[in-house]
Amino acid sequence: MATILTVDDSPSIRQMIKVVLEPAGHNVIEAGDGAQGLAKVQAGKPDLVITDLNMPVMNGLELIRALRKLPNAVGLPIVFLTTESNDAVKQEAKSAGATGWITKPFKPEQLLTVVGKLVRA
Amino acid sequence: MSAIDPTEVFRQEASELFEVLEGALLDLGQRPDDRELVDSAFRALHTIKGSGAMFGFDKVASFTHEFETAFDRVRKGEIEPTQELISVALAAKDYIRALIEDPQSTDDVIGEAILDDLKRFVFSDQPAAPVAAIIEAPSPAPAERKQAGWHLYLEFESHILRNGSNPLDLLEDLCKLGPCFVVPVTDGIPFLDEMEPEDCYLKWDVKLHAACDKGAIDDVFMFVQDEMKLTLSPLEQVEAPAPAPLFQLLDEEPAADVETPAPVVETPAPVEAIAAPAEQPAAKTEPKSETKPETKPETKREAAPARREEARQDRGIATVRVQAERLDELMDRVGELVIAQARLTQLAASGSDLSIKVIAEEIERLASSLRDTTMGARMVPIGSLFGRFRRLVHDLSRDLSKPVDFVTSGEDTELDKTMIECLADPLVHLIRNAIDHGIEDTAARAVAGKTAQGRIELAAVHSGAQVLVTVKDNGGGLNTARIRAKAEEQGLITAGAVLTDHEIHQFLFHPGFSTAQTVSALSGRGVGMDVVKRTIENMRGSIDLSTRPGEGTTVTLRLPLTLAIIEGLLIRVGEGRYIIPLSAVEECVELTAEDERSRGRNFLNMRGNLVPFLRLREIMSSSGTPDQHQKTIIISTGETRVGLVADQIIGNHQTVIKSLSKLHSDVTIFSGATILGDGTAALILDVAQLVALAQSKVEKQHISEAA
Repeated sequence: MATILTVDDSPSIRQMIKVVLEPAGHNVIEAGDGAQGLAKVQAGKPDLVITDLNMPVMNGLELIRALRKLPNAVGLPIVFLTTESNDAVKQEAKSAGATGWITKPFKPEQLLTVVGKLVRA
Repeated sequence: MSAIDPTEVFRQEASELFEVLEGALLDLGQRPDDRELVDSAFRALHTIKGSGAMFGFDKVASFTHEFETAFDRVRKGEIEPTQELISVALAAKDYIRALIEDPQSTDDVIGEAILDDLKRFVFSDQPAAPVAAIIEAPSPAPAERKQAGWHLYLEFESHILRNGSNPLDLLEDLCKLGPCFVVPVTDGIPFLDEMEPEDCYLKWDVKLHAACDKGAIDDVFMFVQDEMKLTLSPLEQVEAPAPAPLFQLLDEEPAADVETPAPVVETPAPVEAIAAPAEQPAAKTEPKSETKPETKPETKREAAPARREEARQDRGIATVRVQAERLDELMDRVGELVIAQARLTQLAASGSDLSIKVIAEEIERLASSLRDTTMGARMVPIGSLFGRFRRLVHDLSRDLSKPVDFVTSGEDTELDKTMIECLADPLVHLIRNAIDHGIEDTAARAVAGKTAQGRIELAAVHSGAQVLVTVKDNGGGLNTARIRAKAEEQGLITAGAVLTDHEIHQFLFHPGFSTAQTVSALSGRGVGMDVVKRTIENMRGSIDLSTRPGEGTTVTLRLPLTLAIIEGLLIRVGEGRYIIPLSAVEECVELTAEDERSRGRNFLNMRGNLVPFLRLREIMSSSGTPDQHQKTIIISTGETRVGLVADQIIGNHQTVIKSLSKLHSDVTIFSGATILGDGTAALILDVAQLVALAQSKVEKQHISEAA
């Protein structure tokens, strides 16, 4: 069982991720913005972080950059959610240190596929 | 696990977002330039779109997407949020709301009309508005011609592990497509001392025996395609179908297969075509050498912020509480080390082995910096002590009805922590004295034309290797006549004895001496100043009084910075060796024949000033003949200078102070002892005592001359 942190200002997205991942045997913890997410990772390293990019207080890109500077988050897979079609955003997030992405809207199977790619039992 | 219906959560959230959106749009009508409003409106739209699509509100998603696309131009500042535009946007918002809350009541026609309006405002400056469709999840590349298999060569960028991708997982995923032969290519692995533990140096050569299409392989490397070199080529001939998982096969793979990756490596052309059609080349402009990670800008950029972060965290815990005992222990060890080092230095100096001398010097340097660091760790700002007295002064001034202004300065002057502890009691005495005896009562102050409020200053200041702590009051000053009368009364001096004021004041430090006419609860019981003096001298410090009648008294404490180790000047007198604390030494001169002739007067002419000197040979009662060229060491305590005549000046010595036993407590001219490099002991001269001794001789001389 993996611990997965979902960082999103939208409770419904967090709910959705929880509803998909918990039956698959994962433990899902939530954070409402980047700053909260950063604090959660500092408190205990999850196995995967799924973060939105567009958030108040601290956005996803800032979160990714901050996480990559944390010694205890070395090698932590970080997936970002994006609705953006353009590669520039993906590129920016990737160069900030993101591991992968999920394009919104996504179906539960897509989410599970991506999580399966990055989280090993 | 969760009983909450996610759709319901979405509806609730959407209704909140609509409020945000509506508020932002309305405010935007008032303040079109407010970027914050545009951003928050955009964020609300964005969330509605993203979440809507996921909970099956496809119409909401597609409509909002177009709304968002249009609004993006406002966000980018390409068009102004005009009143008309805001009206349409509000209509669009209402439409989305209806789509979510009551989809039956809406009609697509209305939506299209709104969108048309919106586009008219937003894209009026553009010929045709191609509205992008909602983005699908990365779709597989068009199906390729079926192959018997693929030959892959994988080379990842070195930072790939740090960014959370695991090449082994990717290989495992690749193996799910069909049987694989995986051979790691190890030629890029650097030597151990050049290796960055978090970098990926391995490359892989993979033969995939599966007739899957290229899209499936691309899917495996979807997230890392920009951070790797993937060379794909169709396998020429179908080899014997390999049925097994990868690592087992590694051992069985015939060597012949390993020999042929060459054509694959040399065909990088298809990489771009496969990897990402719209890829930005910016991320990897510079050509990299895989074998030298430290020359890679990438690596450095990753590592440097990480180190900074660590540094910042270190600052976060910048202070550590350590038990005082441990510091004392550490200081003891350093002391032992310094002694051992002195022995080593002496041994090295007596031999001719150059390499040992080099090491001895190295160790001397290390020991002395270790000593400084350890002493530094024991330093505490004196302000922590000063804080305690504020309350004391307040209480005293209330009890004695003497209003007092208490001023402190130099709180950040640092002293050894043991010194600070030892200083507390003496300072309490001095401050009590200052208020009780020093400051006059209000009536007397009024008569003297002073302000009703007395003033006590407590100050600390560095002075060379010493710290001066002064307690100064603006009271009446010492009453020399009364001190003298009291001394006569106690039989300390005979009536009519000729004494300087300074000598008379010294009686204040005499045990059981008090001039206070009434014994108050606070002072006047005759304990105090003698204890203060003893305590300060035990710290190898000195105490000095100065007073001006009617203007006040200043008590000055001179304290060494530390108690444990000092820099000393090693001298020889006869057969014995002695240490003079270097902080007290001003200069060393030769005792000239002319000075020698003035025997009996014992004064040196130091650039016009007469300085009294003491012959240490006489004080130590040394036997044997004195050296031909006697040396004089000028020492000083504050303003008073005294010369000490010795046979030889040996040199600097790091002196670890060992206290003398109780048996020697009446030996005043020594403050301690130390162990020299050859294991013998040397006594440490008490500078304050020697100066006092010289002065009393001088004054006696004056008196006898005057008589």
